[in-house]
Amino acid sequence: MSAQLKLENVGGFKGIRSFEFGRGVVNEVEAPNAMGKTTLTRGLAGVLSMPITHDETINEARNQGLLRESLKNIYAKDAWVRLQYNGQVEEWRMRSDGSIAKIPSHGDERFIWAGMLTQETRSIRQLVEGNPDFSWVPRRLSYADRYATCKEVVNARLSEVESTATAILRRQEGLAEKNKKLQERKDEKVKLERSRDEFAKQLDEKKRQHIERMKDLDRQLDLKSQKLIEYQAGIEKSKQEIKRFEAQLESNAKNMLEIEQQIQKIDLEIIRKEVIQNVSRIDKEIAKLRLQMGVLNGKKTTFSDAKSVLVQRGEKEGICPVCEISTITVNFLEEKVSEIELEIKKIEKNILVLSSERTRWLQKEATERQRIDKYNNIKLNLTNERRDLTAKKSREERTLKGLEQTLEGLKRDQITLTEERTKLERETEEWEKESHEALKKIEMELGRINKAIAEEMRKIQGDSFWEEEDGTRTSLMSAQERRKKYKSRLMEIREYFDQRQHEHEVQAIATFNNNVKKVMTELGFAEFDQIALDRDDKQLKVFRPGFVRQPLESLSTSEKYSIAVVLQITLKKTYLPDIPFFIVDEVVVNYDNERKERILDYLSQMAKEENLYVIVTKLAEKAGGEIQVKRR
Amino acid sequence: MLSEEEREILERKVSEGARKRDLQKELQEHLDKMLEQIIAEEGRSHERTT
Repeated sequence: MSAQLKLENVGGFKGIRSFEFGRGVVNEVEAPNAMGKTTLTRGLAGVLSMPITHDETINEARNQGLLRESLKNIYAKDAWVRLQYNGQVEEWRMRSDGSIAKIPSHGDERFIWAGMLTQETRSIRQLVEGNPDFSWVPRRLSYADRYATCKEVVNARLSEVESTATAILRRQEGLAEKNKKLQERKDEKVKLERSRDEFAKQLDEKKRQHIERMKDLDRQLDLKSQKLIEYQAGIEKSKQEIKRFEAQLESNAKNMLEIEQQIQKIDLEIIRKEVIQNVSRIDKEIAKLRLQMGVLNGKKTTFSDAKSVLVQRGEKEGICPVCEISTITVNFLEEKVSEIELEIKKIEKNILVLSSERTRWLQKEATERQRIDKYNNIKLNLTNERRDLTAKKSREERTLKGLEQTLEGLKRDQITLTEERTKLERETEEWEKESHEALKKIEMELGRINKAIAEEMRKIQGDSFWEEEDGTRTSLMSAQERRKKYKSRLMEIREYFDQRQHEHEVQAIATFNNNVKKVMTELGFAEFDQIALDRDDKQLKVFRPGFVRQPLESLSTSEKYSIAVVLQITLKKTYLPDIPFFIVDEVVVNYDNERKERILDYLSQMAKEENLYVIVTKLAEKAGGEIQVKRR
Repeated sequence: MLSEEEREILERKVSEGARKRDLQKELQEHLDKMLEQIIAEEGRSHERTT
């Protein structure tokens, strides 16, 4: 039974290269340098170890040049490896862009650690470096690794749970903080509402006071207006009174003027002179008349005497007894006497008239004086009246002045009140505007707080429940309780895995040490008494005969390589018993022929006993030629 | 401490995971179910108490 290995564009190969390996034998891959021996072994190791998932193994694969990127031929497109053995096919294919098209499904990444013996193998590297830390043996190769992996999973889960628990705790703390904040907001709201109500109350009180004050001012203004009207009416009345007094005074003055004119018209001297003149004239005229009347009386007497004489004489006519010259008759004398009497009567009448006139003249001054007195009386009355009127007018004027002053005062009061009212209105308007703005601000602030409260409540509502992975919602406390339980269970599981890991490590180390001893004996390496992993510190310890410990760094190169052979064969036997491949890449060049042959014989024996495909690369002695696979 | 039954279950999961070459996934699924179970138990307990 053979295994078919096909490589296309892998490493130094371009195009398809096929190889066949026999089972139960050592397959010697022989070629000169740079003909692809290492490429072949790397391709085979790759297909047997992939997929590689563990970070430490990936790192190790990198150290051994087994990363898929390093396997691809840089000049070709896709790289491909196909291994057919034991009725199964394992394939590995990588596209030109580096992406993986196909990957083996049954590879074992432990092959990187235990399936190969090359210059880059970990054990060789460590032995060369003198590094005794072989803790990776139980860790990466035994079942302990499974439990370590399980522990990692549990630890990761614990970390997740702790993270979730922390998140829940943070949420709880946040919730407490939010509730505190919410309460603060509510307190703030209550405070603000109180402040608003108090403000509104104050505003109402101020408005009420304002209205009262305005009413008071209006009342005062009405009162002032009424008084103003009253005073204006009073003033009007007073003015009319004054006018009336003025008219009366004017009339008085006019009368006075008239009286004075009348008085002026009466000139007593003139009158007296006139009276004197007229009386004198009248007296003269009377005197003249009386004189005439005396004459006439004389004449009358003469004539009467003459008559009487005639009569006495009984003569009707006779010589005038007076003149005694002329003849006169009684008739004549009677006629003369009658004429004279008439004349006298006429004169008497005239005298009477003149006397009467004289009396009149004599009475005229008195009359005029009486008139003057009368006028003076009138004047006095007028003066009294004028004084009275003037006094009344002055009084009225004072009253008017008082009224006007009061009116002015009322007007000033009215203006003051109106100004006060306007000022109050303006102040109130400003104050109301400011108050309105302030209230608006408070309302806006309240709106903002309400919004914040709603938002806080929404957040609290949202944060009060924990959404589980299955989509259900639960209280934070319950969610935390679950995490506690889960964490407790996980810790128990981790403890169990830890215990199991330890058990397996101890077991793996014991098995490994036994197998090392066995392989060493089988290989006949008698220069060491014991090569073993310390169970506690997992250091590789090498003991010379007599159990003398030999530090790794002090070993010779061939000894290091001998130990490496022992270790790798042991690792293969111990940990990869089910993988029928073991690769040895030119390690044997460091041994002498006897040891080389002994190792190859051992590998042949192992291949045969364990039905393995052992692949050993070998440098061709002749240059040139292709890779040849020979069964030993 | 885990019960014997729980240990057996875990061992089975470990070996199944190793066999399937996805130990992590197998164990994660088991741990997921365990959490679901705790949630369900706690939920029922909560229902009883309320």
